[in-house]
Amino acid sequence: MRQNIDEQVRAFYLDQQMPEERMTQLLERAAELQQARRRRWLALAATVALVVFGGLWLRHWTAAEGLADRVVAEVAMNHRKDLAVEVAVADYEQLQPALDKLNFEVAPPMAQQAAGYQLVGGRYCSIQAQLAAQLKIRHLQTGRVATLYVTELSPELASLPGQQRTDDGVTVELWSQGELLYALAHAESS
Amino acid sequence: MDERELLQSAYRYALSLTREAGAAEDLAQQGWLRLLRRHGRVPHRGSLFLTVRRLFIDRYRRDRKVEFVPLEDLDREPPVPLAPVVERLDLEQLLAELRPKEREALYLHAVEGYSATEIGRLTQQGRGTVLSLIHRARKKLTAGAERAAAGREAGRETGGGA
Repeated sequence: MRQNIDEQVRAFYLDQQMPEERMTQLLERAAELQQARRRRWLALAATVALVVFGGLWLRHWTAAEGLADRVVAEVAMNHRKDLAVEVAVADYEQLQPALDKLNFEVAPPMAQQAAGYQLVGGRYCSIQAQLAAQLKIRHLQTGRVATLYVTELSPELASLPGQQRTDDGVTVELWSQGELLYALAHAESS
Repeated sequence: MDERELLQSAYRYALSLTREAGAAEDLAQQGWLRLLRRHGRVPHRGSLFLTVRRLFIDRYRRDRKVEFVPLEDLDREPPVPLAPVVERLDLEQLLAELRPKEREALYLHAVEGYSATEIGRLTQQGRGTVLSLIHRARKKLTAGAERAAAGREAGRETGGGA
């Protein structure tokens, strides 16, 4: 009997099989390798994400820290100047018509930091080139005088509330109330 | 083609190169794992064969200094000869007597169905060279099969006469 030689070769090779046990071992090893590869990629992606987001956060935090330093320094300096009030009013309702160029309404501070103070009067000022009200307030019991700054809580200033800092003997406390940023400055010892 | 079929295919191809089952298993495994490490998967059969071939060349041809005699280019498809059906052991022996490149070319053509051009691309040889390799391989196998058949015939006659 004669047969195409290619067919005989084909039949010979197709009859050859890698042993099942070896094949199973190899495919298991391959699956482990693929998993390890996926884990490496995930770890790499996580590292890259960490570096990128860490960098962005650090940049944001550094910028926020710089802004806080500048605002506190500005507020403390104005406090030390102890400028006279332009309008002498004891009531916040009377303050608004007197400072009618303000593009926001000055609400009486509700925070604990400003409790026990009486309004003495106010004047215009600015914080980081943003129009603000500079109020002189006096503590009803101790008689100590402090300066309260009120301005709009713009996106640029949004990172400031919740901080207390000291600048050259002046303590500055920052908080927000509604859409407003409050900064209370008083002598450190008071 | 699923993973197992692809792997069997790589094993058989490695077997056509090495003629040793253990070595073929190693080559197929190493080729498979190398592609997984590089690409995370086995892209296609061609890349697997190419990787197996490179591994074979690295591991065997250099060590054993297998000689690859240059062949003349033939630009025609050789006819497939008919040969007596040979026993498996005879065919294994005849295949072992082929030069590695002849066996590889015949395997890729007869088993995997590659054209001479495709084999040439895989093995970096001209189409005519591949056709020549296949032709020589067939010729040697056919001659070997004739010899084996004649031997069996002579054996039967001797046995019948006794």
